[in-house]
Amino acid sequence: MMDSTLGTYAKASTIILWTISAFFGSMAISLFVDGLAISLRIWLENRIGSPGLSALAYNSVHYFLFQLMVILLLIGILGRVRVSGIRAVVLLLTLTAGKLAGRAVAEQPPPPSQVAFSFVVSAALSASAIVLVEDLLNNSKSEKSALLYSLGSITFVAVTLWFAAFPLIDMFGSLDLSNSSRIGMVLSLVVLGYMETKGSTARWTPLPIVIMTAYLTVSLLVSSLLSDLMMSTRTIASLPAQELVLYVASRVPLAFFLSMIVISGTFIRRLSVSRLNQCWGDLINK
Amino acid sequence: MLLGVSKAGLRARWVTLERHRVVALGALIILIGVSALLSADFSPYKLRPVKTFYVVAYMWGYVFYDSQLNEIPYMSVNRGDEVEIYLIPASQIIRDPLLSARMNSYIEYENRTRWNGIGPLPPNDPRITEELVASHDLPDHSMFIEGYNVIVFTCDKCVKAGGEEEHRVRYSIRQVLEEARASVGYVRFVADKTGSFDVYCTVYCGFGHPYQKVKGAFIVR
Repeated sequence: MMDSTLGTYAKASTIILWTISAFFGSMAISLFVDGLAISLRIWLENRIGSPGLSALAYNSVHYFLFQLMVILLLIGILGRVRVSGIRAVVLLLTLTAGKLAGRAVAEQPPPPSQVAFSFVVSAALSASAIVLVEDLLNNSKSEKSALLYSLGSITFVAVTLWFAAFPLIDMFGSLDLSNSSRIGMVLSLVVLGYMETKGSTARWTPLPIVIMTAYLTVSLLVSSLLSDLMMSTRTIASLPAQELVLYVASRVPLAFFLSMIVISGTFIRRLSVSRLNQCWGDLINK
Repeated sequence: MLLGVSKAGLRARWVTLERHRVVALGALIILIGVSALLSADFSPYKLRPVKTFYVVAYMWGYVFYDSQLNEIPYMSVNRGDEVEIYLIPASQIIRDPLLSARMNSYIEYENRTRWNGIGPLPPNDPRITEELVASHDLPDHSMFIEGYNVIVFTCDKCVKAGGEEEHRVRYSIRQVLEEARASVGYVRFVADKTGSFDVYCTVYCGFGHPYQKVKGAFIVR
């Protein structure tokens, strides 16, 4: 009886420690890394005057370094402990709340539609970080090629269409409509990620992430060309060679960010109640 | 033995697990620290954009230019920006108002004083020219930004040729920066307080010196 009570306290205190660490860790990351992304962008624009280079630096920090740091935070907190069910949801919400709190400290209050978009994106990225930590530390088998190509192809089409449509949607000048369309894009990618991987037991490793990023980089470039055609602008055609290279390079971190959103669809798998009891004890058994 | 695992096995497993976590947390702390150093307002290493302004100090006023040398009504920056100001003595651009009138491309600053009047003297009052000529031996100015306690001085006599003070006619601010850099004052600081700040001259420069003040010339948003 006493051992059982002590075990419950141990579990509760560990989970509280996790929650506090996840909240303040993600808040610090959001506060300083977002600040770094903006400072770096303005600094490069001001000192070097290359919009391509500043966009590349901003995207690399904002999309890639940020996610890498959240993954490091989760490795530091969880180690190899698997999370699922309620614990995964609590961790997801804590990470998301921490990120939003970090932004709230540094920025002016945004309109509600922007808050909704930030919440959806932050939650998706937190979910993908939880999935990746588990998969990278515990995997023995990578995602199957056929599944990956199928997922890559379908998300290629989705991203191309969404990103080609965004300039048209933005022409209406409604911030709510623009943010709603972005939320729609994120949710559609999450659903695609879930639908395509729900029957699979395979895991995400670096190679499939690189392949997904490559797919989505090409889709972003195709969507840029499409929107140039539709809007009768010459954004890409008018860029000098060096700026064009930097423009293409700046799409890679954005594609990485989109592939993280696709991967977050796999997180829904972690919510299965059947795994809850099995995973609940992992913390103590590990 | 504990739960079917040997003590050595448990220890090896613990060491492997902890190594992962320690490396991850160490890398995270370093990355957050570097990010904070480069982005936090309190950090001396913050990546601050530089806003450059060129200011011509003439008898008796200031004309403000942005980094592209376009004339602007006031200097406006964002909080946290690094600001650099070049203070250029108008005397290094042109001294002879008659020559200036003949050559339309010249920038004649003292005419602004004639057109606008100065202190008790109304616009186009002939006494203004008398006072300007009487003050030509006092070509230097400063610009003090009130509230920031930042000051920058010009040094007209710093530009000399053959042991005598040189007063070549120069056609533009750019030419002064190239040929008479020594006369140009320079200051660099971080705009860390928001507000609207007055600027004025602290070096006696003749009759109009007490009136050489521009209200709200430096704005930090």
